[in-house]
Amino acid sequence: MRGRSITFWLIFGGVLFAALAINSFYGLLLTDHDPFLAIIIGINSAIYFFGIAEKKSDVRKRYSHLLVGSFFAYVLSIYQVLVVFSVWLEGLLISSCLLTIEALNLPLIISGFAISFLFDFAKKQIETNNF
Amino acid sequence: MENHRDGIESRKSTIALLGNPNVGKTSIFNALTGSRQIVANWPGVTVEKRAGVMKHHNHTVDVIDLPGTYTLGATSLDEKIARDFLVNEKPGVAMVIGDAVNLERSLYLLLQVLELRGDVVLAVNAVDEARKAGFEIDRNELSKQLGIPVVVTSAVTGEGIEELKNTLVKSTKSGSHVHYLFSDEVEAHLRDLSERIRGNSSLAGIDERWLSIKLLERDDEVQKITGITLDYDFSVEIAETRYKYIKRILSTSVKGKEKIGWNFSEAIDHVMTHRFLGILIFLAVMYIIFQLTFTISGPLSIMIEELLGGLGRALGGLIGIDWLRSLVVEGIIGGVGAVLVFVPNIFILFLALGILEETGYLPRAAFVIDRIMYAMKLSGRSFISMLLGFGCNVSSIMSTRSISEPKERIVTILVSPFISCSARLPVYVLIAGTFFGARAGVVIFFLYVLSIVITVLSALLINKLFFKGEPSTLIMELPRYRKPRLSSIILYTWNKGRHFLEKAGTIILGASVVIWVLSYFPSEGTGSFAAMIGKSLEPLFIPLGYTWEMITSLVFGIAAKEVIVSSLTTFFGNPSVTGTSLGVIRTLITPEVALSFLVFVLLYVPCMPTLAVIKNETGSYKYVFFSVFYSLAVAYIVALIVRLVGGLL
Amino acid sequence: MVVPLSRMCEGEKGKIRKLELPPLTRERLCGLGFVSGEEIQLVKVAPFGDPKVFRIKGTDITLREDISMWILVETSSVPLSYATNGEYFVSIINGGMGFRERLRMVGVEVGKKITVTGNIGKRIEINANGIRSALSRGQAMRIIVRER
Repeated sequence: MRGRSITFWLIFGGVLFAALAINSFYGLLLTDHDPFLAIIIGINSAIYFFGIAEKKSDVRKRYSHLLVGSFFAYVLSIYQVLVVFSVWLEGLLISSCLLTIEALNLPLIISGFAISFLFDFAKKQIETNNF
Repeated sequence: MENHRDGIESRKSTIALLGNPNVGKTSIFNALTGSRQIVANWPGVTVEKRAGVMKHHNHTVDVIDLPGTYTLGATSLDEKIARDFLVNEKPGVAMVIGDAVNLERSLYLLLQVLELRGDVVLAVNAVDEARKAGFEIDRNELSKQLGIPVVVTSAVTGEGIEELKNTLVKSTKSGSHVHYLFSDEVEAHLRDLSERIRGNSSLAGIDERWLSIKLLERDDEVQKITGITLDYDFSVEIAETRYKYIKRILSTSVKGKEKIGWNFSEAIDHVMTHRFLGILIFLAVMYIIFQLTFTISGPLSIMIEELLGGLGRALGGLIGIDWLRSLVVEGIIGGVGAVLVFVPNIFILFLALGILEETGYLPRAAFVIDRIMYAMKLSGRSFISMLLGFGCNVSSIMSTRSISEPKERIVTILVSPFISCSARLPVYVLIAGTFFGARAGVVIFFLYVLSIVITVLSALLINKLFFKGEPSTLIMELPRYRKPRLSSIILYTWNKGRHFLEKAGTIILGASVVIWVLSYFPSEGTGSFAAMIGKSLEPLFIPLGYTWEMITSLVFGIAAKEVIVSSLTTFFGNPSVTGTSLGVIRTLITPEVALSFLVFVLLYVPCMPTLAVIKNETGSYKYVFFSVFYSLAVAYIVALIVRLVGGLL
Repeated sequence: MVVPLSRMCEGEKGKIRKLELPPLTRERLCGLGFVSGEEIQLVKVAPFGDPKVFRIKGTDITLREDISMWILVETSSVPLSYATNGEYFVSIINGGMGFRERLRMVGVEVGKKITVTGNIGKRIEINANGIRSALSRGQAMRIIVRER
């Protein structure tokens, strides 16, 4: 992957998660209003953006931001799935459904799983290249 | 190299495992023993002892996992335990587990073991990672140079484990014991000292050359048992000789060139310990863990509550005798049940901690917040333990085992009770809800902030009181990141969780029975012993304005803080309605008294399981007494201040 | 030059010269590989400047300043703020274009010679390219110099 591609994916990740953060903060599209989660998603976005702040020539540092950022996104998706599952289970036990479509925060789950492929890619790049 | 006849008998059927921390010793131990292992304590101390049994081709051998150490000096408790076991118990085989990627350091420990005894086996672990990094270990050459069997293994892929088991089982008592030579001057001293020691019959069981080397290194323990103290100190030279020898060995046994540039761990660390992102990521990880714990344990706790409720009803229907029914249903099931409801909470927190530990992230987290902790004269490691306190103080105190500095450990243990555990939350919700309605959330937040403030201040105070305000030392290794193995995590969580259940469970059971007796006899409610206790203590609490019912529930709260809720509802509310019908209490006390009561609940005496664990982990009652009186004093003073200030607002 | 371990530059390597520490601490560090002549590298600095991660014998160890300042190492690069009087080369300047420009105006550029004439108190007096000036500690921390 050449320097320009890494930059592209870093910007892509950063913007995507910044958008998801704002989405969660205001509860806009298919999401509940959850300011704390928004902050955490914002941190994920920051991981990508700090990657852009690294010198262009420092490829390995940029890859590491891509690596960790994507892994973190993956973790967030799993987290969200677990939370949703627990809420559903609780609803089941007290015989009233506590879930709404918004509570799922589908945009987060989908984005996280989608971007996790970047993790595998970045990992392979780091392991096979002598940076 | 010389051969040195060793006429000392060894017990054949025990294998002792040694190795640096983080080399995968535990994984190898698990691979050898499977689930046939027991986790206990080394006698008299709070260091974990893992013992198991290895069955291989009709052989049955005991395996002991000694604490991970870098040397066999006697400067730390871990080293002392490992060394004492080798010297006193004389296991049949001593296996040193080394790290293929950091062989130099691992061999330093190996040499120290070889100085002490024969019948040593070297297992070079993580050989798969070494290959990835570009090394190849020539085990035959290594074996030749060291004069002992060498096996290369990978606990992760399983490579070499079979061969290791074969080697361990076949390890014959050769009696030969190879060692290397120091400089002429040192060797001369060693000869002299060995002469002197040979005459001492009480030291007959210990290799005299080893004792001599230790004397030249000015080892405290050895100086004590031999009665010889020297003027000169050769420790630096001896250490350098060892490393020189190691370098020579490695030059022929390790082939390949290290890849320049980053490996996987370094790449991750660039972000994880980043100047700015490091702390942000840490906060994010903490948030995720806590949120997950509370959300997942929610439904699980409900399930447990229903199960217990059902059990209570079933048993209640079966028992005809009134007092027995009450004892079983309200006393035992009610009392123990209150704690069992928290079990999912605790187990999940331990699980999270286990994952953080297995992956290798924990030292990074400690590294990132260390500067802040240093201001409290603690270190990053304590922070992790204290975080567990938000779940349950018992688990946070139990987790202090991994803090290596004894002073820091004690301070962390003593301030842990001030961290607002989840058992106090129901009390907050009940009282704050009754008195402050919509503002209850703000009040509870205030309580958590107060908890942190008092914790920090107490840390400074206790450090000054007991340890003259000296900060702890930090020498912490950052091991490579590794993929966590499910089996290890489950074993870890189960061990820790089971320990918690044993400790907390037994005490709560006893306490529940006692509380039941006190509140049932001579007549339930206002005529009981409990009420008499409460009424007699009332004068002490006049400045605070608590009623005898509140005081009695505080007394009961010493068993377990969530009991306060059930006590209060017994006295004030309708027991069959949950929580909210405490309305009558609003006529008895004012809001600022209620707030002061909450503060008191937050700060006063640690619950009994916590006290038991404090005694266990510190090994003395002095700290238990201190904890009780200090927390009572702090609770009273702060609660009083809150009441007075509240009254003005 | 010989400097305390705590003053090494991020990423730089050095050789351990001496450990001026109490015997107990020295022994613990010895088992980790901290012996005379051993190569050590400063890998990372924590968010607030302390502690620091050092790489020795292939392992990463975290140390605080209370220990690292008592370990003397021989190293070739050092931040200007710790440089004693003498002649050096400027090897790295950590800063943006504005910072570099202001430094160029007083003769400080990467690859050029720089002489330290005084290092006490809040300022470091230097002579670069014939221009005498004084830099603040903060500025000097961002200039890495190498021995001639």
